[in-house]
Amino acid sequence: MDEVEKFEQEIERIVDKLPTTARVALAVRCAKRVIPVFKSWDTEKKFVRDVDSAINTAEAHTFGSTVSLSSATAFAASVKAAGVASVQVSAANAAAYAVSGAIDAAICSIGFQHGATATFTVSVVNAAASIDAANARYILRDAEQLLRLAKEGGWSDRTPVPVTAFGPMWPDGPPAWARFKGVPKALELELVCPEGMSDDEFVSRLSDLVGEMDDYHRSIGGEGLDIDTLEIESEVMAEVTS
Amino acid sequence: MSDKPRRKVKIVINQRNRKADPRLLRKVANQFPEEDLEVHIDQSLSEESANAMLPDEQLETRAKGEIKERLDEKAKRVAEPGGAEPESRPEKKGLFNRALSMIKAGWYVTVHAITDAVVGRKE
Repeated sequence: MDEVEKFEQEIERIVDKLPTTARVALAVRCAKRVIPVFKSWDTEKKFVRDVDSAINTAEAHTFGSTVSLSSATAFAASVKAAGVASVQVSAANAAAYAVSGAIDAAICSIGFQHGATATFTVSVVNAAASIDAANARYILRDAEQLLRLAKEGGWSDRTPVPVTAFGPMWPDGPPAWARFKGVPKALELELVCPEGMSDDEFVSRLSDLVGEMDDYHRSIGGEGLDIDTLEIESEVMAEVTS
Repeated sequence: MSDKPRRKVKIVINQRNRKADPRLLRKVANQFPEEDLEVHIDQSLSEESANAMLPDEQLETRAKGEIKERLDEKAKRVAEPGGAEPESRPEKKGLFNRALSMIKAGWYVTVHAITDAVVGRKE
């Protein structure tokens, strides 16, 4: 049995044990890994917005947000068109296929199709791993971590997957194809605060961090920073019934 | 039921002078201690469950207002003739240490460079 077969077998074993929503989370994570490949092919940005919308929709489902089946289906169709368009460039095509599979997995999960969700997830994982063998190592780590969290938390098929479930995308630095090549137009800071923090403390911590970024920017010759957008989501705590 | 839930925040940050060298933004992003995110991941393993996250517009308005006010005040101070620039020489690795201390306190902190998305202002 070669390394690829071993990997595929191990992934199937893990996915089989994952609850439905966690399966979608793994698919989304894999698709997000390889989206840079698709974007570097789609330089005219014909499909980038649809690809981003599809993956954001699938991810929203894993966070427990209500996702419209009709919009998810529409995004799935758009991403399939991206797959058809990129068919002659195998890596871009595999990346589009991964995104397409992730939104299909979400659609199946919304429809309580546990088995079909697993099928799509495994296909997404294999598509993402096919782009770069080094990718497989990280994917396996993600899958194992998710399984561990699911077991320890006693997750059901409908348990939302916390945004903190996965660690850094590339703990040892991104591979060449995922490396940042251009110059940034902006920075997106994403944070999740721990439970038990007051509004005052939360805002104060955010303000201190952005203030520190502003200080650093000025110290290297910049004229300071500004906020374009700021979005906050608060966790809705489950009611405890006795 | 806790009245102090976890919160997720996404902030898109740009340079005050939109024509400034965009590589400065990269330098800011590079100050974040990505490798230390593992610290938080270990802590998150003890979480028993996850709940849905919903938009919190009230807190959003407050946070945006306070942060913008702080940045605007500093910009105004620095722009004044002879204005002091105490923040122009921040502590070495101050940003790194600030982000690291938040991570160790249980925050999830990450920063991405936006290269191709349309960055618009929220209405």
